Amino acid sequence: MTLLSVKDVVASYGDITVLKGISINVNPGEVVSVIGANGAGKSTLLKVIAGLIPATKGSIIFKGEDITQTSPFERVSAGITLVPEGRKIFNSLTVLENLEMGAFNPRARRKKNVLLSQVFELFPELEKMKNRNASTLSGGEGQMLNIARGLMSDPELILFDEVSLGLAPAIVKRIYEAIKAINSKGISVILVEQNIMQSLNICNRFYLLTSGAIRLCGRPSEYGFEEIKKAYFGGVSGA
Amino acid sequence: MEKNILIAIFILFALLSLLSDPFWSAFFSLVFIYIACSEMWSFMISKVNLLSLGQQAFIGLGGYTLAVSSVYYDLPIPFGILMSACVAGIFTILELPPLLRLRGIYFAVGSWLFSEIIHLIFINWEFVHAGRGMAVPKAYGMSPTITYFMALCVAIISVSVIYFLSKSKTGLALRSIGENEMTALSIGINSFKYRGFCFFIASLITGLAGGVYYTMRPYVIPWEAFGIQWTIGFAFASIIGGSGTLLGPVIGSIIHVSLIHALAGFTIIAPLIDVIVVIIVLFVFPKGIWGTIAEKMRFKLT
Amino acid sequence: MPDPLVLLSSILIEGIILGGFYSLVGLGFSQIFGIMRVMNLAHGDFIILASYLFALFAQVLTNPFLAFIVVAPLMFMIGYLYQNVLNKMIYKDSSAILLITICFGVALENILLLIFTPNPRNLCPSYLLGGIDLLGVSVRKSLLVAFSGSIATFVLLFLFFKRTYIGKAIIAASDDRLTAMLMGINPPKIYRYGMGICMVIAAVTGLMVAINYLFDPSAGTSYLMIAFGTLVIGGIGSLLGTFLGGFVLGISQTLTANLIGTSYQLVGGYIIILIFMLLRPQGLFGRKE
Repeated sequence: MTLLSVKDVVASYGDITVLKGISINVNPGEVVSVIGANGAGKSTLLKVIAGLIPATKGSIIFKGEDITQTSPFERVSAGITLVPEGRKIFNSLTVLENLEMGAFNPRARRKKNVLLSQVFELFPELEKMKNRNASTLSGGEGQMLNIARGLMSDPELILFDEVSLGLAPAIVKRIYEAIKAINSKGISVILVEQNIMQSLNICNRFYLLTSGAIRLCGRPSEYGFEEIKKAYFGGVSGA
Repeated sequence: MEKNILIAIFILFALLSLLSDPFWSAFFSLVFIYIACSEMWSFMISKVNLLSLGQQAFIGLGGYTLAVSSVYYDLPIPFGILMSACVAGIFTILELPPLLRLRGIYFAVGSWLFSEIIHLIFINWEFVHAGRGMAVPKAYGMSPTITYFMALCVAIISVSVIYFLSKSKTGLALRSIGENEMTALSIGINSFKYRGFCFFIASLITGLAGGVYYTMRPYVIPWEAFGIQWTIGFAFASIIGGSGTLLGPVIGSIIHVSLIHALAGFTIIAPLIDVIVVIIVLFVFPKGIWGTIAEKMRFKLT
Repeated sequence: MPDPLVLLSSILIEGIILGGFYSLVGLGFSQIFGIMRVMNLAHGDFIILASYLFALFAQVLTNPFLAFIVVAPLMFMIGYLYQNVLNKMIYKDSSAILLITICFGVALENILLLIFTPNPRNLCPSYLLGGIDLLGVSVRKSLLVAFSGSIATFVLLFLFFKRTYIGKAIIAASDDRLTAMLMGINPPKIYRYGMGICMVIAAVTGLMVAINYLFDPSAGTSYLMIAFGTLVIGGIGSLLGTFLGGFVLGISQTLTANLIGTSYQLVGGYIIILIFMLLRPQGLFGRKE
């Protein structure tokens, strides 16, 4: 059964329509990449799936249930977690408290200690810093906290929004290893990235977005690099 | 289009004076005073992002100036009213340099603080009879029709000032400050000066209105003259009618004064009704009654 | 001419004790602003509402302190319901919500006026009348109770935020509302609990007001000004800031009272607030916005 099914979703920022009827699917255990240039609507798509932005048309079905009208915190309880772009950690709290916040929803709260040890296994650096105030973390450490916090909500589907943006290559490598490890535990992933190579290497399937519509989709092995590049930059396509 | 509606309404108001029923005369005089002041309040918040919670200072100053000029200097009423505007203006000039440095909610409460400081001073100052309040003897015999026209004049002046200001070069500067202050500053517009100018004009008109009000009700009591209820009323009228429009505060003022009269025996629940009305109106008309209508019908507003 | 050293110590000690009380006045107000970015301009009036509730229940229970058991939960519920209304407007016009809080304040004043008449009241029990000698300065016993009550409340609140899950959730939601939603935190519910807690703080404040001063329905405004002052001086989102802000206000007030005259003492406080707004708008310990 499909885990997530997004059908013909339309979304706007004010008067500007950003998503013009998008349909994507995610199967259980998959890593799906969403790539595209700046402004194509990738971030918006994730925010719509997470519930931060409403879909004016279309539907979102998760595990067989229509969640289009539900609020973000209800979706977290259902099993969808968004790891947002940028440094969105809670600066007034410590690392440990940030992680505890991640497990706020009732389902995760019950398994909090189990999740915490899993997260520390994945990111031992965070365990060492657990009592430090989050505002003192470096860029890479903050991003690891961001991801770890997302894991604390015990998701079935995790959405990564530009998770490697602005980070040093060594840290990016570390983060991608972590994503692979997360996926190997059975958690499905949607990965939004501007870095095409990295994200195509890690995914099972991908979608390419231009100007709010899907240009290309399928397995990376089905397409040559030239073809993807052309579609990325808006070349002529039959889609 | 809006301009024409306004002109028609004001002509109607002028003609209404012929009715000479004392109740309606007083009713509409109060409406005009609210129109004058809420237009100014709306002007400040919509054009230059100044949320003022201190307009009552000018009403109070206006009223007291009138009283003082009448009692101590034996000046005729019209003169006293003009002095009201002057005193309000002088006070504003003194208050502005520190006040203008504040932003947003700090400006709002700052303006309220200044008003409260004046309030406290007047309560303790023997010259203005402290907490006992002052009478305006010259206003006792005044005919309601004269008050009616004075109030109408202030309202017309208020609306005209806003109208002509919007059309002028100054108005253009104001619009750009309102849109994006950073950008305005970077093209050389001294937003400081312009925001101060708006506040100053607003204070003059509100002071004038205060003077006129206290010809209608010729006894100035500090907690009434400097009460926050004035600004609440102006804000209410602007928000309900549609701040940022010319016709909005007119509609809002009529509604507000009607509510005041309708709830006169029920002063206790009046503010609660106010809250309920604001919530309901804003749900149905998110930009105020006229604001939403005008937007739907795509009227061009000033 | 009194000995200047005695005068100074008198001003300082009175100012500090008074200041401790003022910190409490500001606590409920600044916490709500820190959590939701909304200034509850009716806060002063809610404090006075609490004072009247104490007056009511103290008649039945004889002891105003005992009445806290009833008044505190009552105020919590009032805050919860109040926030229900505010939540509806919170995402719309920001000046509209200020208007609504002002209207609630005026409505409260008028309701209290109707029920209790404008006669000022006081609830000081006989064993708290009179003063204690503190380092040579006579301080009212009731004010010392207010001072201790204030410190206790601050400590309890600090522990609440540091130790409880919901306390930390409130901090998270006030740091970043959208991200908090991604954690499964429901901001409107958080705001309701936050307002409930602040109303309990208002209840403690109301008790202290009732014991120390003559209160009448219109007394709310001056307490609102003091609350605003602690927010400005202390900075947004800082418990320590609010705490110290109260002391700054208390001392400036006793200073003005002693040097200029008691009828102008509030003005001294207001001027200090204005100075801070101008020269240090982020307050002593404000969060960067």
